[in-house]
Amino acid sequence: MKIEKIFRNIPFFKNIVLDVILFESQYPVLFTCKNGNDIYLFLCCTVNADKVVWIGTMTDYDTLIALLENQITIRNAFLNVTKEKIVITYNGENVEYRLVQSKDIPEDLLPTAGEYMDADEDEYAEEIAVFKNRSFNVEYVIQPCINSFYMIHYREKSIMLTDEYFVDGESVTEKRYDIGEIQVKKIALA
Amino acid sequence: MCYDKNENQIYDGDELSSIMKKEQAEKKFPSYFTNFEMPKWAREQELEVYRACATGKVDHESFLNSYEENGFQISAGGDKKNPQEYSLSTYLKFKDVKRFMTMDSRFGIPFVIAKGITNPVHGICLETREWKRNLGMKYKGSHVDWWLYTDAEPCREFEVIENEN
Repeated sequence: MKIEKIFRNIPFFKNIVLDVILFESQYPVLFTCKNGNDIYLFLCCTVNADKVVWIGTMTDYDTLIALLENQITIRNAFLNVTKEKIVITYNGENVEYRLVQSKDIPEDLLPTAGEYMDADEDEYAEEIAVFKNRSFNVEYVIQPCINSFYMIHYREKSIMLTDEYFVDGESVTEKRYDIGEIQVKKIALA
Repeated sequence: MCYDKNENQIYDGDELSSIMKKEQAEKKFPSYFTNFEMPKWAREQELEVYRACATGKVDHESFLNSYEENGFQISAGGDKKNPQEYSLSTYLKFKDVKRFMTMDSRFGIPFVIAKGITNPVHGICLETREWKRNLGMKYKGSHVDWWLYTDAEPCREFEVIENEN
């Protein structure tokens, strides 16, 4: 069963890549995939003679790390981040998919409620390190004021926000910008 | 060739040993095992393993290999020559069988997990990690494939356990 080949039948997954396998049996059961800049969490919930079914969700590295550190349940890790989920069904020949709201996913396809990964200490040290390295989510809380610029320091690099980051005199709550190799994805303005 | 007074064929010690080895070699995998090539590292060994009991009991139906569990078919999109299509899945680690049951839609609460031994009288087995490592591949889990002989009753070696966390 070639997961990438199957998933790439889906229009918005044409370049999807199998990333990290978090749990496997005879096949990958819980794993991440990279789709461009986005990271997805997939779970293979059904395998029988008729079909293979995966449920998937866009996720983020904070959620994945929390999952592997036993801070959130497997179900909550899947349901977090976004309400839109994908259900992929493969019958051995054809691939079908449907986008659903998390509340509409059949209960039996979801991971059993209340169950954690129960990971041993260091069991996922390598994966957590990879995810932490990839995670550039940084939040700053900035007191609101009308100035011509803000100066922010992060890991010995500094950036300057000027008036152009504010639209029509109103502050925006989120901006994305580059600082050399660091890409700060989010700034929360208090 | 020797015969006794009743014209029954009799054998000396060496002949008998040879015959017994041949019988063991033919022992007795299901006929559909001709679909695939057994991994050469699979062997008779006693491993303490856990099995997810789909019926909620330690019974024959909870200990069917994947092929029979699928109604004598391989899984959708599977490879007929894949040995894992014909094995009984077990795990060396309790947490791995629990993870599998959490994620697979066949299993609901309460989970019924059995613990037992891969008694060689029932078949031969191979840790997936060992298998993959021998093939130069990474594998993180504790899954064990157990290829059962015809008429094997592996459930006899197992009993239900409580949570081992």
